[in-house]
Amino acid sequence: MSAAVATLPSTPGVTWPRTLASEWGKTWGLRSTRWAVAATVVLNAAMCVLTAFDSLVGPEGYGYSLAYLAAGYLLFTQVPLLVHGVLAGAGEFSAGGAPSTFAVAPRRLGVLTAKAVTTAGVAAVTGVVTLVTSSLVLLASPFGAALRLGGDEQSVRILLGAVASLVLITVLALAVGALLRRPLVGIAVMVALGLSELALLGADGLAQWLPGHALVVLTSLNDFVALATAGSPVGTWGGLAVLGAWALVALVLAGARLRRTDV
Amino acid sequence: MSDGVAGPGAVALPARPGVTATRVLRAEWVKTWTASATAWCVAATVLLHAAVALVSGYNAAAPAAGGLSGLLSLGLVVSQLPLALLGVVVSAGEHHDGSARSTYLAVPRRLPVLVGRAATVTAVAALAGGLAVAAAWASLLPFADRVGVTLEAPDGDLVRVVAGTVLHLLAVSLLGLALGAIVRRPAAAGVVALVWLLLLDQLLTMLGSEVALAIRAAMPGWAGRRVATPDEGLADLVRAGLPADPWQGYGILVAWTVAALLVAAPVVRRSDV
Repeated sequence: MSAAVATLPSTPGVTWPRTLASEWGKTWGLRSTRWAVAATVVLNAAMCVLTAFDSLVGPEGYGYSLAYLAAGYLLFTQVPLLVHGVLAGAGEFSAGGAPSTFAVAPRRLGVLTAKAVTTAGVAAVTGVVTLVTSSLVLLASPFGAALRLGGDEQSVRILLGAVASLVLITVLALAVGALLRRPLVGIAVMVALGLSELALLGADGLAQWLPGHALVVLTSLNDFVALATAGSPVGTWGGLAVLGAWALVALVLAGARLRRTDV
Repeated sequence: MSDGVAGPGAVALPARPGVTATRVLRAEWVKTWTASATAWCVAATVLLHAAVALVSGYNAAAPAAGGLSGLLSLGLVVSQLPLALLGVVVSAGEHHDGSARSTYLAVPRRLPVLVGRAATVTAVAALAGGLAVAAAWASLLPFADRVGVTLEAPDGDLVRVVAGTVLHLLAVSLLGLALGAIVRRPAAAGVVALVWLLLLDQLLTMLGSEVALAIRAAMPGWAGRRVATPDEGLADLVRAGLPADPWQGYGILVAWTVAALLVAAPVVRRSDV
């Protein structure tokens, strides 16, 4: 028995690594986190299965690219991660855990940064597992033999870009949740921001300044990227900077509200 | 009263005691209209609807398909969402903040509460829908000289499309109400509503296979919007071999809504709060 008993640490006090450890533990202990990760992985793999058995188009319609096929549906299948991010930011305010959390860590900003790192970690793990699982599913499909995953620039851009966009937009969702403190409102806002791409793609110059744009551009085939970034000051990888700026501004606003107002 | 117990302006108890359907309706009516979520959702509906009409009319390089009818109904894809979420909040919100217990203590039969909320949400959606169409029209007026803006509906479908827009919003908000009553958790029910009404439509469109389009035609969001689709758009659907009857489409949405309300009724009546 004694081996399983957690002892008090030898030095007392609230340190950032300890805050991070408790946020990490809280997050993975929640059912909603595990559901969000599982839903993202399963949904994306299911979309890949549906695509791989689409005999009308064939692999040439997808540029024979394994990376593109595996990441091409993330615009939709990122939604569980967006919901997770909002819940990570707003859940404690709505469920009543926030007063305990901030009684334990009164400096508050440490909690927000620890939550941000935790959420980024969850998103990174989810992104990698999703892409690996979907790639394996695709390789086992009728398309499998025709698909290529070279170390070419396009595949690297799609895979790295997909994971980086997912991480940043999930952190944005966390910040929006922490700023608004209401799960339903936060989810509505993040779905609108994440998927505004559907309504605006190619419509005008506005889309490139929205947070959902990076994922779409980075996970597209070279031809489409050339089309979408023609005459754009943001460019291919610049979308990540735009998205990162959104996340940073939202985090700063959430931090200001957290420091100054009651919980 | 003369003994000074109740001062001027005090509300006296009604002459006859008891919980009646009208009293429950009045209570739900006041609760919903005084919640800030209602004002926000109505404002979001009106703004989104008008913004889509204005932006698409202003930027288009050719006259809008379906003329004015097309412009006035285009925003429905997004403007339906705040009202669906309002339905969710009206029915699930009290379970979240704990006031559902007081409500059902006051109305132990419970079902009148659901009926009262449905009536209230219908009224809110009718107001929001009317305002949304009016705001879209008003926002187009100053830009009548743009190529993409037309203020005429040559096909004579304007009345059906405008009425259809409002009717679609009514049904969608009731669907949200039913989802909220079934799931009881605002965030979870809201995610279901967003996925069902928006994401699934877009996802199935993107897949584009025959099966995907057949499923899409049976989903409440896409089917219901046919009643608010101008004749020109319906003709496109016919050419693509898709179901195009506007009122049949609305019937599908109403069927989903009625089914969801029928599932919600026993949940409201029987589950603990």
